[in-house]
Amino acid sequence: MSGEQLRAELERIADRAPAVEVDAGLFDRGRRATRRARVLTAAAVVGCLAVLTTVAVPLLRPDPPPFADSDVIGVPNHLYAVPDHVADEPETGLRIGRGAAAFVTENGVPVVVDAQDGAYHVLRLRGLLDDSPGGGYRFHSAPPLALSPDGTRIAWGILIDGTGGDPYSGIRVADLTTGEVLEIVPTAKDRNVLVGQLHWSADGRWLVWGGARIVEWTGGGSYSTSGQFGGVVAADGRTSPSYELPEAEVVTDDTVVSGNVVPDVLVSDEGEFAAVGGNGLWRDGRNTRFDLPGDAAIYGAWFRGDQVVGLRRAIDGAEGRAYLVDLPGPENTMVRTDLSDPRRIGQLDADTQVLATEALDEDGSPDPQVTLVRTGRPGGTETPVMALDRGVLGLTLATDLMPPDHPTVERPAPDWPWSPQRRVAVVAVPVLALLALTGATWLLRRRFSR
Amino acid sequence: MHPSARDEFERFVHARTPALTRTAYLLTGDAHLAEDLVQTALFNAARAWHRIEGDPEPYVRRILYTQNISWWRRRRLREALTPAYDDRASLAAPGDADLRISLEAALAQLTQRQRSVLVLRFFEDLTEVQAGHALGISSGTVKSTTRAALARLRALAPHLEDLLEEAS
Repeated sequence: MSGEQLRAELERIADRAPAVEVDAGLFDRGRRATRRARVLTAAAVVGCLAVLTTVAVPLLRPDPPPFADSDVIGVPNHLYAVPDHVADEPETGLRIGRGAAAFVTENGVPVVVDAQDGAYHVLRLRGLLDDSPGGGYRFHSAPPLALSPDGTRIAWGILIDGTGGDPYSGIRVADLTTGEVLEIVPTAKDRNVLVGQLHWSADGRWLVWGGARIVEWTGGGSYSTSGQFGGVVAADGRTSPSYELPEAEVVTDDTVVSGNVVPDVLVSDEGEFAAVGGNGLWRDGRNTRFDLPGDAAIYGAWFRGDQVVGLRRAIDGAEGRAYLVDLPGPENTMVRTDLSDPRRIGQLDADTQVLATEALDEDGSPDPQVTLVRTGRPGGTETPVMALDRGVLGLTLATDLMPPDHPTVERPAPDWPWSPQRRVAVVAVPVLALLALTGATWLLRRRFSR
Repeated sequence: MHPSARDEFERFVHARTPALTRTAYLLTGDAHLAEDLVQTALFNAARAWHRIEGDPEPYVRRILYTQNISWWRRRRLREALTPAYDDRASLAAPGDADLRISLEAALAQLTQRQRSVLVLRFFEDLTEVQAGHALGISSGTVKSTTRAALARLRALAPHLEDLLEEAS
């Protein structure tokens, strides 16, 4: 097939082709278009991934575990940190039923976990010290917040800054089954007390408080304090006299350090008050010094019958065994625990203590947890019973709801409401992805549909 | 941006645009469309310049061919009843000049694929395999399309029989 004549005719036709002037900036426009296309492609990919994530991830998420023992009142085996957007919207009332656990968030917002269904109630505890604008205090590690052993009452230390009236401080106790609030304003030498500690007796009939005497209000809810006091409140609200506590001293082999040591206050099931600070046990109006190794301190004390017992362990950060020690001593029982800086938060019976470790978010410490430490057996045993999220702080538990043989119940993870950011993302991201795809399609069609 | 890449591109544009335009004109049969086709092919070549290895002309020509077919498909919906050629030449007008016009008019009656195959085979002088590769079709399809295109030209313009007989 030669086609020479046809080729010649085609050549002649082609001679009529126009002269095409190519823009000098064509190469640059092409490169810019390539970059735009890459950006659009990346945006479309991101958009598609976002849509896929939004749609598919909830579908792929395994079904929440069924409520185990959901008809049983109990303490959950996992406490979850409350997201900020949930903590920002507290409930208006306090009638929530029975609490299993109470704690504060990293921002000091109080939360009570329902004993019946494991729901998380963010409470508005008016005047809570941690919530006070004029207080200047942050009691994250041990806020003055205490859930009664039976879970029906919650007590908290208050500081009312005086907006619209005189400032004062004291205690409030809410009945969680009725929502009623009882206010107690203990005084020490005719002055308010800034209540920094609250603990219930093991049987829940008594509430012990400890705090600093406010000697002067300096305006705007601010104050100056001097001296440590403590006292006991009965279930009906009657208060004991305020006991002035001696300045706590930490005695080592050759030195005595005083100041900056806040004594731990405790109350027996008979309503007897006592305090332990540094190397001293204050009881029956007398301060009795006891011996402590130089690198150890008492971290929490309580009554076992009429005997005061303390948790003795190495000073924060130092390694060493923990002991339950009779105070003022010298009898002691070694506790088998590998916990780092445990805090005693209650007991299930005379030989079963509840210890907890807590942690701020991402502070590098071991995973926080609640552990039962049994001392009755040779060497003791240590049993983790509850996982704690970081940011669950100042924990108190309704220990009456923790039978020693089955102390916790399984609850599903909370189904937190969506945050505003998530709502925006769920709505906006697919819309943006759609717009990006539409835009990319439009650009491509425009380019090729000349 | 790589300066030497731009220089290479501009050298290519300067050297090859006339030839590309001639092909584009034969493919489209329209001066404006031919110019647009060349500009589009060069623009796409600029976008992909960094990815083109070796001689860029086959790449640009392939864009030319495929883009033309793509446009034709779109235009066919809008201009199905409108002749595409500028001169709307008559099919029957013997004579030297008239022969050319007549061939142009007859080409305009072919499908885009038929016209593209004829241009590639008889103007670009590609083999059936090369033409098939350029258009993204098989060599067998090129062959059958060529035969159909020539037969249609014979039917449309019997006075071109000699010209077409030689090509067959």
